[in-house]
Amino acid sequence: MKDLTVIETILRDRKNFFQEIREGKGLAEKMRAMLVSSVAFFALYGAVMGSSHSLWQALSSAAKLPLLFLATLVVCAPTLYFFNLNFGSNQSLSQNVALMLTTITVTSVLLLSFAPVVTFFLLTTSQYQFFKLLNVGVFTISGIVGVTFLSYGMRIVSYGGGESVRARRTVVWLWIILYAFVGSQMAWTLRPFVGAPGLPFELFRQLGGNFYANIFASIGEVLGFVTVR
Amino acid sequence: MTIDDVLERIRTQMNLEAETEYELLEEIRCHLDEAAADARVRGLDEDQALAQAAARFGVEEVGRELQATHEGWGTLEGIAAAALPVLFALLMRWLVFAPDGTFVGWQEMVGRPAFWAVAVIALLVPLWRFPRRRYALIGWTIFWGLSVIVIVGGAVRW
Repeated sequence: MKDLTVIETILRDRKNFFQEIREGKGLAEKMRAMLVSSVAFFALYGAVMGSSHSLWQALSSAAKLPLLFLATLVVCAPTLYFFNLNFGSNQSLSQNVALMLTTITVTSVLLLSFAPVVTFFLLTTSQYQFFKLLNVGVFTISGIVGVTFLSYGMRIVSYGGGESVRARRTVVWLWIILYAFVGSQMAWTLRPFVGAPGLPFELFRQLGGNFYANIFASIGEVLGFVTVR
Repeated sequence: MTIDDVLERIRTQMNLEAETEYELLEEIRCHLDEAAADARVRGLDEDQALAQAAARFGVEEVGRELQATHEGWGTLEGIAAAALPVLFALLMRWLVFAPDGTFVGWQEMVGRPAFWAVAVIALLVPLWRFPRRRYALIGWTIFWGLSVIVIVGGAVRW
């Protein structure tokens, strides 16, 4: 329970939180608390997503959603570290991971805040494409707010370092684009999270297609232009 | 120096939710009033009585201790308000109703131990820990109500 209180520190006292990351103060405790909270929140949200299909899908999505974000973090962490290093940063890899975990934790708590809304639609609608797009919208909003925390955190953590403000901003935005691409491809690889009605439960679906084409097709079906099979 | 000045010094040591801060400061105000009244009975004037009461309290220390004690709990209540109704709605869906989400045999729902176990836990958790539990309970009631309406009504197949 104590680990969950890290959310309040991040959201209410963010400047102090990022300053402590810059000083390397209590880094391990912070990272553990963020990891525990984000895994719990992602798991609950994942269970809501999968519940539109079956119990197995709910359990599978509860396990896969934390995995999606943590795997994306692992894949993208070295890039952020070396980008920063290249522009004169003196931050360690752990500090970079702590910053990324902050982004993920903020995203997870926002997803949790949307969970009652998504549960409401889960209970009152049976349209698969709508439910899928609703989740994409929720992830987009939560992800954007999460990465703005990264941008803010980077400003504080890098304050007084060797790099210029412009270079720092460039690094952050390049990395955010990379994070979005890796994240969306990771989500596509680990799908299904919602589970198509009429199809049996699958832990992972065959590779093929891509995330963006599928979203455009779903929008087309919701608007009545095409039917997605 | 007035009681409000003392409370303001304590408040500067805290960064909690406004409602929590207000409740804590009002409680301290009562204790300060009592301590100052005792000091006046012992023959001190108004200012001395308050200064002594504030010194006994240890203004900065009290603020820091209250901050450490209550930090995080406001957000935890928010987390509980979002998570508990959702969690128990999902548990109901998968433990109480048929595994495929249909309303087959829903009449036997009240006879199932899983129903009562989930219901009792869902009611007790907010009552046990969270002071502002009514929100979580109302949210939980809405989701259970919706689940029963949708399942029993059979209007939407899960």
